[in-house]
Amino acid sequence: MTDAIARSAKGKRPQYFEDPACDKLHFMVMALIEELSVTRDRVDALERTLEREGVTSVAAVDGFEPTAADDAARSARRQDYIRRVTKCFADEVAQLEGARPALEFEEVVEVMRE
Amino acid sequence: MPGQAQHPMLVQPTHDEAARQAFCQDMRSHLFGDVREGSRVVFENTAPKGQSYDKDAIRHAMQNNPYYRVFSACMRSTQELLWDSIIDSVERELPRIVGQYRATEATLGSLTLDPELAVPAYHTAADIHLQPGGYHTEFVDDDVSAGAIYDRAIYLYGAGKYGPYCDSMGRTLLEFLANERPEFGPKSILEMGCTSGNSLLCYHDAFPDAALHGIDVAAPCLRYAHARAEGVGVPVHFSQRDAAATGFEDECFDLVVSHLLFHETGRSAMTQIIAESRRLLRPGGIMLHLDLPTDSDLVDDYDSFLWDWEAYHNNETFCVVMRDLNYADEALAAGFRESEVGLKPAPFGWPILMGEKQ
Repeated sequence: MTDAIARSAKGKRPQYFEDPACDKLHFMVMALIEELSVTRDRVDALERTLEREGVTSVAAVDGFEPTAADDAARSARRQDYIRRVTKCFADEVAQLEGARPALEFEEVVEVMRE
Repeated sequence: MPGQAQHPMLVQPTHDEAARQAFCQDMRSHLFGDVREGSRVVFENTAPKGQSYDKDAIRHAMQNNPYYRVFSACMRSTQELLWDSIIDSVERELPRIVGQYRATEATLGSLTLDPELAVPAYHTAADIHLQPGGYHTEFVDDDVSAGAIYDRAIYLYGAGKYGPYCDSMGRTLLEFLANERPEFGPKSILEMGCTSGNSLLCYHDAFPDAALHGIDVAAPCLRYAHARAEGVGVPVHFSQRDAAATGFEDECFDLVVSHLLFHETGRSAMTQIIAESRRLLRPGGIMLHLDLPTDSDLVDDYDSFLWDWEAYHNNETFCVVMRDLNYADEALAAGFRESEVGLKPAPFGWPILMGEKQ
């Protein structure tokens, strides 16, 4: 990465967490999630070039051109990956929308005593 | 990445750059879709009952809610990662695309820059939608990077929904015009705030004999737009002008348009842009400005609160002022007569400020 073009936007970044250190940790987690997605795409390219040619190389992976079917599969896997890493949001919504309200621990204990 | 229409100015990502960009596109789509909508369920179930909530009260209730906080932080970080992933490609390809621009001859259209033009404060106060350097910053001689970054970003931002040429907003206004005024045949068309020209080129398909003009305050976008249009084969005259005071003569355009311009300007600029639109129109000419919904267009206060995210977290700060306005009232304040002005819904629901000069 060279430094010809600016990499951060002018303007004060909002603080999302009580401890500003958590804002940095959160960003690092998001960047890590991104890098793992990139790694997975690269592994996929490695697998497909190997399967196709019986041999692979840095250049082969760099130059990998996915077919439409490859792209659809890679896209589906990426979206599933994103669903998995953000499942905590969907879980909370499902809990709140649930047909039965979620019982508190003591309420469940009472059920167990019956 | 398949889908975006290729042209000589478009940067070509490496495998890993494309993978990074695809991740950011998909994460943004998921957060802006399912996760954002889920926040409404969270609000309805957790906000204290027995009080009324306008958008500000909703924001105060939600800003410490863990779901909304983390969602918001994720949206912000994803946006930042998106720009960074695109800049990787543009920075690597910068010598090629600057060279492509320098080699571009004005065969079909033209480019006129004005180095003396002052970039408005609403651009320099903060980088709009977090694009590093905004639209206007020049990093190298004959810089085209802001245009190149924007061209790729718009495609990813909409996850391809804006079309291969990222021109769906232009096609929206054309569809609207064809339905509202099917007999209207402009001979000269101006787009205010043209950026990369992405919304403008499709006007050539609809009106092949019309002269197209695109203006913007940002030189790196205009250089890119000019080379892009020549490369795609569409004649456009690009010039560096402020839409609030263009310098064109009175009554020299039949059609004046903009696509998502207003919310990236400021209070006085918006009024001046509308007034300038009227000045530039010949009698019988039409003005169409498509932009974000204001509070009067939105379904409820929660929608309004969700839209305000753009102002508080995405440096689209004018949104928070613009949300309280009514576009038709602004047109009257800018000099349009009541009989000339209408606020119409675009085919997908956003408002179009329409003016017809009598």
